[in-house]
Amino acid sequence: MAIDLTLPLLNSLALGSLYTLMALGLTITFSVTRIPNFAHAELVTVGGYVTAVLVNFMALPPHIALLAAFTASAILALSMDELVFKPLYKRGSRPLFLLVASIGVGLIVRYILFSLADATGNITIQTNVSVNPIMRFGRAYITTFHAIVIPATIAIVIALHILFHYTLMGKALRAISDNEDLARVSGIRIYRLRRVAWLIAGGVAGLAGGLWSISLIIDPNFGWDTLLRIFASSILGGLTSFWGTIIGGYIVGFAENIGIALLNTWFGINTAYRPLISFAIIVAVFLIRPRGFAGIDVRNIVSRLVVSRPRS
Amino acid sequence: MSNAIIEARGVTAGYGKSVIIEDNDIVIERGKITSIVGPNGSGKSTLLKTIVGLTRLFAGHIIYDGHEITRMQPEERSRIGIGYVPQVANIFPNLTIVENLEIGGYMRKSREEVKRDIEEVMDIFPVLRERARQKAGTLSGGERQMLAMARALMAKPNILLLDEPAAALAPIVVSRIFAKIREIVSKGITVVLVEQHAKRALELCDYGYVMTSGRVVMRGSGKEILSDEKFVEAFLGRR
Amino acid sequence: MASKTVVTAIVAVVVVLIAVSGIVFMMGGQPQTVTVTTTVFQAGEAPTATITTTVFTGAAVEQKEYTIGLAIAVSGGYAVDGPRRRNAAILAIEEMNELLERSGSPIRFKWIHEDTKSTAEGAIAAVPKLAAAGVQIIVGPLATSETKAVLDFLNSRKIVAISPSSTGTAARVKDDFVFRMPPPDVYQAPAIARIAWEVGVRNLVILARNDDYGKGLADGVEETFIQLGGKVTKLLYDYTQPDLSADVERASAAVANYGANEQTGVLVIGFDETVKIYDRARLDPVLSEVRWFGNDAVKRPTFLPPESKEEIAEFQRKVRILGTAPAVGPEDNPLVKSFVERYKERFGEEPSLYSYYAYDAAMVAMLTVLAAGEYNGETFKELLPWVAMHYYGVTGWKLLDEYGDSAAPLYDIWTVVKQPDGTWAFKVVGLYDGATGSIKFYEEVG
Ligand SMILES: Nc1ncnc2c1ncn2[C@@H]1O[C@H](COP(=O)(O)OP(=O)(O)O)[C@@H](O)[C@H]1O
Ligand SMILES: [Mg+2]
Repeated sequence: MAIDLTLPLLNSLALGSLYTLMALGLTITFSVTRIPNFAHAELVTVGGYVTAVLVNFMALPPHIALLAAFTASAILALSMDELVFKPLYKRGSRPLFLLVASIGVGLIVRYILFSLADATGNITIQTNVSVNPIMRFGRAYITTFHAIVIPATIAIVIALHILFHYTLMGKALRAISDNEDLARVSGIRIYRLRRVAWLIAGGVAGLAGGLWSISLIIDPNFGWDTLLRIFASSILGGLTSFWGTIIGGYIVGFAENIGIALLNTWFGINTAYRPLISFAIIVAVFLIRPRGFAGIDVRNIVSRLVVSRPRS
Repeated sequence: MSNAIIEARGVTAGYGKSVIIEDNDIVIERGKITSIVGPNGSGKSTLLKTIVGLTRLFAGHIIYDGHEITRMQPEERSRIGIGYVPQVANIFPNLTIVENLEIGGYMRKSREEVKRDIEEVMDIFPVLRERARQKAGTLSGGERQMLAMARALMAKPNILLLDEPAAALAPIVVSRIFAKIREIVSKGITVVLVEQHAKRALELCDYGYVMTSGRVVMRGSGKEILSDEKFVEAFLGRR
Repeated sequence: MASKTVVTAIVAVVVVLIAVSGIVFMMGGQPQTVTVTTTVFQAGEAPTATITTTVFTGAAVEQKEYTIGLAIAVSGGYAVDGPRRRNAAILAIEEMNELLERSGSPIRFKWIHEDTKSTAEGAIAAVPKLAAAGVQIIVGPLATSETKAVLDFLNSRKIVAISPSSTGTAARVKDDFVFRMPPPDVYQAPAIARIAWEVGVRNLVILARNDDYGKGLADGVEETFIQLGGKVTKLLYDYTQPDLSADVERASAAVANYGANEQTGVLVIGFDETVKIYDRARLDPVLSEVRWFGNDAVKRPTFLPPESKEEIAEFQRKVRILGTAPAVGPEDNPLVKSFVERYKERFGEEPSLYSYYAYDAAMVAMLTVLAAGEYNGETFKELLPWVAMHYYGVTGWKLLDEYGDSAAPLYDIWTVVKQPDGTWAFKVVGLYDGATGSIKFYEEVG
């Protein structure tokens, strides 16, 4: 049979955008603090709940609720660092300890969420924003969700790009990521500046969770259940690369949707094995290209494609 | 030694639990070039890092400009005028050349002045201007070294600690770098120069220290050390 | 402090035992069994342990008391529905005792409850406590996982258990000590397949959760549907995934492949996550054009407003969903009506679906004990199928098959309707009789 990939394509774009947003935060905090933050999952979850609760029960307009989700997750991320990671880091804890600590922090947040959600009878919830078809595209509908999440992702990527490349603070954050000691002897107060990294990472994760809660019925596990994909996206980009992470997010989105559609059509592989795709990506990157795309200067490639320079 | 800019007293330092340098006394005189020489692994770099605050200090005191800075964070030390160019990893490879220089001037108030100084630096090193928007990681060894020094100078330090700035460079580049160091001193900046190549460092310096196995074993003016028989036999004789 | 209380309690128990045996000796009568229960209290707290001991006593004690163990979860996943099922069993016991008293019988039933906590581990901890108390016949456990976990224990100790709600294939074993009151899943599969066939579907796309339950039911439906002459595409999804877009997309592709018309249908076999599937499918132009089918787990308030979005209910109506759910007998059965009234009067709320089965499970247990005339698990096991065969309860005939599971399954066929007052409801539109494989629609289902 002929394969109509319009629906998987739309799913890939929507989910790729969300994975990108979630993974960017992970990449930012990893770059600046070298903590592979497993509690990043909970920042996504909290954003989802804040959005859903504010829209459904307080009748706030969605964009205000998303702003609140950004703020709440940003503050949560900052508190995680100030209360747990930073003290451990200053005491010279090894990365493995920080990783374990982040799993612990995640567990605590997740179970607090569980008990709050349970106490109020909202273990599962979905933000009350109606998602409707806009137009037909092959076998699929382009919906209002696509019209929200894809432009939102592009806007955030542009905003972050401006922050990191056109402000001194952003450049200083990249400097810390590149060489922490050299950043310090250049007068950068790393323990102050890393707060900015946590605020941005948490905020964007919360925003992603909030956006997703419009199209997804969420529960306190949904961030954790997505963490594999978030890590796969970030690892594809070498864990520290901004553009690499964006490409990674979309690769995971496409691999999971178009990839599984093709695998299912050609080899009869069941969609239940879809999570293995992200897992395979992680393993493959570690085996074949441990630095992900970090070695590839994507911007150079793009600028060479876009700007055709006269040969001298 | 009333004109000391840095005094290190009884400094014992290292990494984690291991002690690398033990009980060292160092005095750096304002406006002069001080060289620290010694074989590979003798602890020269560790001594410099201890002055900027990047090691673990087990004992001793460090005094800068009459103030105790023993417990001060590295970023604060650089803010009061201590500049440092590490031996390795002395640039930000994923930042562009201009961005490296901007970070060099990070703590300065006036961004306008920083911009002007960047222009000036690029006048001095035309190669940096050519590739201003490229990532610093793409530079060659000599170009990196120049960028590293330029980055440190952007902060307008009172004292500059240079860790083997000429290591593994072509002779022509080495002479350019040494010329640059003399220029820096002529502007009134104190320079501490760590070198494995003892002869050229001691010839250049006003005062020198010789380290082996984590301890200062000899001190004096460059000429004094170079004329010491034991030193010549140990470090220069069989070269 | 606590240990002091326990020591005191143990001393008390020993004193009671000596006293009782002393009486037996003095009377020199025929030894008979009676149960002595001592509950240990710790100051200001709930009972910490219940020690039940079976001792010999003389003929002087007129009443005979038999114990029904209740291994019913009232915490964990069954925290809400577990107590309702336990209540139904207690109601049965109370009604039986009333009857026995009126008829002047010396026999009475009493019950001991242990919470199986909705988990296999909980059941493994709870059931031996009942065994230690001398219980030979149990109502429970509720879930298939719990039931399966205690199966070996029950068989080796020769204790009979009657589950009011386990339907999974994992606990379907021949010639064991476990009996199950509701129709097992093996009957639901043909039910769904035949209903789909009956309404004209010839190509069925099955989207099932990738676990024992989902795969088992999907395989069963596939088997019957192919036997009937239909075509099946079976897809399994990982229910732990937050997003099921890719799985729904495959279902959509399969429907498109068959052609989105009256001959194509979609069956989802899932639990609560099915609502996510509806939510994706409602935005799919292909999937909303064919009829959908569902299992008993999706006939829940979660799938209708106010608990779900309006669009979810609207979707179910649009795809004219038909689902199955174990029936509690024909709706107008006076037996059912009377049970509902008694239950409401005693507990102040409506019984839930599986409360009916718990009531019948307790009744069958007590009738078996009465028929046996002695309190012995092995005798109960032999007699129970015969007793059940002659019993018609609030859940209908209780004829058992060779696995000890209900062999006369009735399934309601339900759909989703919007009522005149604007609220949504599940409406029973037909009945499937598993004994004959016959389907009766009460109304036109489109
Ligand atoms: N970051 C570090 N952690 C642990 N040991 C180190 C570190 N850096 C250097 N060392 C050790 O300290 C000793 C002195 O090194 P270093 O100060 O670099 O000597 P030099 O600069 O004179 O060649 C060496 O034995 C080296 O292995
Ligand atoms: Mg060195």
